[in-house]
Amino acid sequence: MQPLLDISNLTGGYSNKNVLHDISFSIQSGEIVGLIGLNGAGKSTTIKHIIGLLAEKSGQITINGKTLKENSTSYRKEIGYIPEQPILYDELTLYEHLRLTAMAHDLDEETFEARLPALLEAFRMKRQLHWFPVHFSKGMRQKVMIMCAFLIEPSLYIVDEPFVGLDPLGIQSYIDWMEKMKNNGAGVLMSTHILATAERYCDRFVILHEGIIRAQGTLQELREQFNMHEATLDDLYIQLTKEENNV
Amino acid sequence: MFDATDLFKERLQEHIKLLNRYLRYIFNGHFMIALLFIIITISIYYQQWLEQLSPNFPAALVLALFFGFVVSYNPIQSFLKEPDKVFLIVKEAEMQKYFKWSLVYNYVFQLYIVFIVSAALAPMFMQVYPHKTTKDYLLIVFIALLLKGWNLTTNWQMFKIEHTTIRLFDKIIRTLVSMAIFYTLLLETKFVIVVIIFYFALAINNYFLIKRQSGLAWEILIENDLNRLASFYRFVSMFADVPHLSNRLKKRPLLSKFVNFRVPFQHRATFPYLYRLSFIRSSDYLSMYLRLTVLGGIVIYFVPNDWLKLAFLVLFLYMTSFQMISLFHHYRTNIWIDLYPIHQVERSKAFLTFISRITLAQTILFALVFIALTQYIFFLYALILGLVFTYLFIQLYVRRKVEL
Repeated sequence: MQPLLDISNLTGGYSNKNVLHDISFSIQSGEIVGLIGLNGAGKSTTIKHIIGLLAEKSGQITINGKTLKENSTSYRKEIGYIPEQPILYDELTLYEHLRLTAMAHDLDEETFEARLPALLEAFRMKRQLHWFPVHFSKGMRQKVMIMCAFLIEPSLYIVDEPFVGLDPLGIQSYIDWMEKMKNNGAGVLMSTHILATAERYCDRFVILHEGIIRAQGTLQELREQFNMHEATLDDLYIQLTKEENNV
Repeated sequence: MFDATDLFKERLQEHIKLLNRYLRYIFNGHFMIALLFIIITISIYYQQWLEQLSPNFPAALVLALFFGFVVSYNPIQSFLKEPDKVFLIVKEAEMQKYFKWSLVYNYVFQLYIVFIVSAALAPMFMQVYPHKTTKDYLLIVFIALLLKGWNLTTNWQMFKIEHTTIRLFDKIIRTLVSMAIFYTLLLETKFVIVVIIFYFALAINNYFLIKRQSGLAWEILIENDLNRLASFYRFVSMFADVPHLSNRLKKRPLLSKFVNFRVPFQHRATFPYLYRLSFIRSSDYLSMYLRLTVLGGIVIYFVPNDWLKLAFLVLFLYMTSFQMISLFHHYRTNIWIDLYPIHQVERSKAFLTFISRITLAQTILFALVFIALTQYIFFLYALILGLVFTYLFIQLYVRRKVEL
């Protein structure tokens, strides 16, 4: 079966500095994959390559068999991106953000109207529908990003550190929606530092360290690799960095 | 050791650096040409108008109004910053020296207005008072300089009073009295003495008002400075992007509702939708557009020569559409516009369509001025000229600027 997202032998980074070295992993439909790594490990760079803000130096990224180069429009249509730092238009209200996103992704008006109420309800933003970003807290800004992504229901979600800044209810709503989308057949790549949460909801993990993949697989597979049965993701991760330091 | 003079020098240098940077944006080639064109036109017509000035013209009143205003308009900039009220308030005694320097600076800086106005009014003075000499005029300028210094110092002293209404009232009275001084001076009546006495009575009254206050009103001073700076940035933003002004947002609910209602919910309308909303709401696009349209309309209406009217029409169309190009770059730091599943070409196309429309709308508004003047042939000329200009400018210049 063709993977939803397939990254093979990706080397990349910024113009004169390679950050990622020969990275390969893939995501299937209906799968949540956690992208784990310390600050500076290359998580955000990986994400930038996937969403097409950086061009790969070698290797290939395909989504449903499509590459950005061949067909940028239909490639981009597959992706819903939730950035770590919310990026909003200062001049647009929440409603207008949602409407613009829907238009950009070619949703028709009926679908937009049908999906909107449930999202507003879930993220408790009904009252803020006509507010401007200046009046939003960090958590609300983050919610705008999340709502925009869930509104368009893409086949692949690329999520960069979703939990920071969200209140507990917001986190729960995010997780509920993510699981719902997963059950509908979408794939999720989620980068995070909150390992306890990741452990509970991710089907597999990709552990990135200094630009290379140190390990990947399900929690069970990782435990076997490290020979630490019963270990949590936190334990495994700390063990891994210890090994690195000893080398 | 804390040295108030050093602090002032430092703040002044900072300010000059800032002025320098933004003035360079303002006085770029395009703007200078437009400005020069306008000044030359105005001075030619001013000259002509002076030559046929009727003897009943109340020249003394006009001169008095101008001079009175110039000596009374004394905004004070003290380069204070928000944190100063915490850090410098303990040094209030030493800060007197700082404020003395800032008064000197403000006086010297403001002199340019006195010189511009007295240079502009000199021909009028000579025209209506042929028997008077240059010396008489210089005496008036000299008195203006004195009064200005006095008014500036009073404005400064009045900052100690926290009541805005009292300060405003005092300013209005002093402005009126200053105008009266010039008026009586020009008419050479003895009444001038009465007015001057009245002015000093006012000064004494102010003195006692101020004496009752202790200490400086730091809050007022700082707020005053921030307002000055904000209006400077607003002015500059007519010519260039001002990063300090990023958060100026106007909601304009009616217009935006109209846009939300009018723009179809369609994929290809994505960028038109974004540009319309940004144009309406962000910083100053719409207000700049309206300002230039009104100003252009007034100029076209009043300029006496028909062909010159057409020249101004093109000039104002050019100035407006040139400013509007920055709308295209408004979101250059926002990654969403790169991530949408829309071809980059669509973005430029949508922008070109939008800017063409607003320029054409302005053309029609300007052309309507000719209808108001019952110049029907020139109404047609204006439309054709505006159309040709819009097409050429957007296809040849704007297109190159926004192609990605």
